[in-house]
Amino acid sequence: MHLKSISENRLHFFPLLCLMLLLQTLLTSRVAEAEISPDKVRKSLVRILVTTQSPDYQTPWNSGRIGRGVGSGFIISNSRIMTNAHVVSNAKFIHVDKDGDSKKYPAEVLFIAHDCDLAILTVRNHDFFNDTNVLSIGEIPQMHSNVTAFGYPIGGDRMSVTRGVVSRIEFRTYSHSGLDSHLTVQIDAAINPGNSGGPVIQNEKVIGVAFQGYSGAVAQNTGYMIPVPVINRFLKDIEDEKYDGYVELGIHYLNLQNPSFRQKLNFPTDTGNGVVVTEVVKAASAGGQLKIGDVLLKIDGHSISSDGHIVLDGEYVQLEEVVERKFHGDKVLFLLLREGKQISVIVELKGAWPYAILANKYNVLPEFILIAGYLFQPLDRNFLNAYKSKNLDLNYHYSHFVKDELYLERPQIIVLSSILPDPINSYSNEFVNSIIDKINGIKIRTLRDIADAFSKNSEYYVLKFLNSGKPLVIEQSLVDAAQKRVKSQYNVVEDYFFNDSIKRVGN
Amino acid sequence: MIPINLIVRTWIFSAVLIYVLILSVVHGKNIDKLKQSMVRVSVTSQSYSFVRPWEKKLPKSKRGIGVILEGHLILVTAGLVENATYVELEKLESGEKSPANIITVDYAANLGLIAPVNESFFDNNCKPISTVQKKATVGDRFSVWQFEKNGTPIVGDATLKSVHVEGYPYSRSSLLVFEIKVLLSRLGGSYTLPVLQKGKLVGMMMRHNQGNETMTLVPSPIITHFMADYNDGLYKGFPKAGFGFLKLEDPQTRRYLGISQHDSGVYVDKVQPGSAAFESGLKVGDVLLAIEQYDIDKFGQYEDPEYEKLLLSYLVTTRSFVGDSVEFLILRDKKERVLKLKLKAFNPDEYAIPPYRIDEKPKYTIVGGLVFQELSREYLREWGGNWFTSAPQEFVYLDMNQWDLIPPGKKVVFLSQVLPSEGNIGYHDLRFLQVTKINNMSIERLEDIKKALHKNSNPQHKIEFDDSPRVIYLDARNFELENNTIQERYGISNLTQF
Repeated sequence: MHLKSISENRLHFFPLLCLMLLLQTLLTSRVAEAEISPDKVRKSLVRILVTTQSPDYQTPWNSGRIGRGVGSGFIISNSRIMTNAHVVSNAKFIHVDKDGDSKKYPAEVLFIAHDCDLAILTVRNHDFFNDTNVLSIGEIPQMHSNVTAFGYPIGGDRMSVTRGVVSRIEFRTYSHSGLDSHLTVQIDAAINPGNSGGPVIQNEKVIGVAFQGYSGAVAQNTGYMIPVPVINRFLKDIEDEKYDGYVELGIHYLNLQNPSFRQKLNFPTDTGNGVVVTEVVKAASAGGQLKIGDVLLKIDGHSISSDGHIVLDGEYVQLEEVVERKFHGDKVLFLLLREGKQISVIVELKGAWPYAILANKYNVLPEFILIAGYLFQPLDRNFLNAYKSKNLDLNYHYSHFVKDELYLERPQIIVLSSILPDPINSYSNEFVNSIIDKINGIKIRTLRDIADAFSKNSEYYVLKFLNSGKPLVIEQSLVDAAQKRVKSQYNVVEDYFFNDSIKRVGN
Repeated sequence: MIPINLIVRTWIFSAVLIYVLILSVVHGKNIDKLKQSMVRVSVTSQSYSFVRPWEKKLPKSKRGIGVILEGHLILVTAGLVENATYVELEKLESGEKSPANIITVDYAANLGLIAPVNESFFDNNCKPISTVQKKATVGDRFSVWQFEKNGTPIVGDATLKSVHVEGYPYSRSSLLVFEIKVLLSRLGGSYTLPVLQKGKLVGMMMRHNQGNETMTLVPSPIITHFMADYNDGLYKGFPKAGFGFLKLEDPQTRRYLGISQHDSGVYVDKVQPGSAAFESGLKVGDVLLAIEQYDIDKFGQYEDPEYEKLLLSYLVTTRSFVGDSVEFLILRDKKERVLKLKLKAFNPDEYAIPPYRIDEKPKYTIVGGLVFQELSREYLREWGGNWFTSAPQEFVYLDMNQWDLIPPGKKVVFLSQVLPSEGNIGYHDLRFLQVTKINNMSIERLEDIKKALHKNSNPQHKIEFDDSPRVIYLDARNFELENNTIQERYGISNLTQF
């Protein structure tokens, strides 16, 4: 659920996968209690060795930086290995091994869920699964109960075991996507890079997947794991052999706690229920179904308190939790007050594509088009991270893309991100970091529109940018020669890449 | 390779030269005479808080050296006297002190005039200094004047490095500056110092970069314009055309626009609504070719009769006065046209979001604990030196694009914070929200809030914002009581200040 703007969600987490560091570290592994035999877990624990290739958004025609990483995983039913999505993101080659077995087996990703940082791998060579043990999934642990984390922290060839207690259960941003918040369990066992994807065990069952730690001077001994509800949702989602991802209700609401506001609605002022819808994202599930000003009273029969909470399975949780547990095509029933009348509204749930630009992207090549040295790229989180831009226009359009529904006008915000110098563009540096509005009078709504504009015959290509009057003018007669020069001078193999797999439903 | 002895000789030669020059500028009797034409100015200033607009911030003290001009006036920079609560003069020789009044201040030009409360402060020795009238040339020698506590002058020798147009600290307007090279360590953090050329005033220090030994001055032509305007009776300020331009270097763009002239013309990129440029019919997309008889080159420069190549802003702001008519030759749709601009004064209140608001109380009104303000650059500056990236980005974006985004005449009224009370429970975290309507009445400026609240007869006041939560309600029946409780609880002297 994305109820806050992204800037508020920036927390200092580090992904646990890191490049192998030659660190001499003493790991004090306390002996686990009798509740689990480490040997049983050892037989299901897997070390995952990954070679990644991460695209460089500043030179998007290159295939990118090659890196290595190590993470942990564990064997579940059907010859499958569960791990974190971030362990195997951007992977080009994966192999796995087991404690006490020197043989390395190539593995492949079956499912990857970047929004909840989980992935499933398999190994084609079935010998790998000989003498292994399958772990089953348990329940949400009790507060302050003991749990044991297994994995290969900070690399290392041997399994490590650490123990701790459950200290908090709450919603938290998953740093892998940087956007999505789900239920998270905080434990006081040390979770270090390399622990990622390892199982956290209680009563011989997996009750979580270790996935992120906390970096910073404030907190110590805090690790986070993905709890069972999130794991089970992922496993259920892939039952049809395809991961669809989370659904987005797409509303903002105001807690209905003000006495005057309640009076206005003729609600009792003391005992409170209901929240007021203040924003509906058109591209999300609630678009066209819920309206600004609706007072939400019940969700799937659960009464909504005036601070937006419901009681679900005996727990007091935010109303979003109902949606959090559902899948694409599922329905949610709202009882609400609209224009003084109580009505029921059914909302069919789906994902919301505009949110995608706000999340870190993996396993996709950056989209771009390079014309006469001018590099055009769509604005998204990866773009901003790569260019570390503090440009006001770019940051404004990024943070208001969903909030102010800029996506309706422009499914992609196309930026002139840089210029590879050539005589054709000698005087154009002032346009770098500008958002393109029109070419020859035609509005640019996606990257493909740029290619279309330049494929038309015209003496001049006149590029207009947002918040600027002066156009960038390119003479058609000069383009072809410049394109050839730039491609050879700067070793640009491909001068464009479009990724049309991302569905966009604009106007 | 330069022979070492040559370097040494050059060094000795320059040392001797500098010494001789210092001697010639700072000559015994001359110093004493000039010293009596300057005065130490101590200012206690207290700026308004724009975050808690009912408060003033901690008082600060500033010092500088002012120059006695004709008419018993003392010239200082506006920076020295901004938000002044008390101004005091001190004679450099005798140490005699006198309170002073501010006569006029122009923040856009960064100049101000002050005068002693008691005219007898000026004795016969206080001879006014005149301002240099002839043009300055790069390489000219100037002297920067400061004084020790006991009145001993320390005179720094300076050389004029560059004459150009640049942005002044308060306004967005670009005015002429002199940039000088001077080796000087400023005593007691002086805010301004006079700079003289052969005993005449050539500029007032505005910025000083000790690291690269440069100092930027409000130069004599700006001082002369300022004084001429002041002596004319009513002070009107520096004129402003109200448009932005970009250079036109690119030959492809020049061919597209059909500019036949070889080298001239700049692109009109922004036009401020309501400005002289706007009223003359100047439009975004016009190419400005000439102002009066001066051709404008592709960088926006013209050949000034005195200072050679200067940005066109100088023609408008300093070679003209408010009320003057100025002709613009432009190219529109490949045809030349002449536009007549009747120049108006620069006035921060003409901006939807004023670039500065000094010596004036911030406008605000508190209703039911909701603090409403009008957006100003001063408010954004409360986020500190990095306000551009750290202040609420919607507001910065609005400020930067105000000519396009805000209809002429409208101000941005927003909810800046909520002072928690019983009546506004549920709204405590609301902030940085633009107010669109109250009780269905459109809010164009802060004063509208009062009107909108008065005309309501419903039991609730309805307040609408441009963003989530869109609409909130406040109790209208016990409104006065609620206001009084909040005023008392948070110790606020006035609930409203316009």
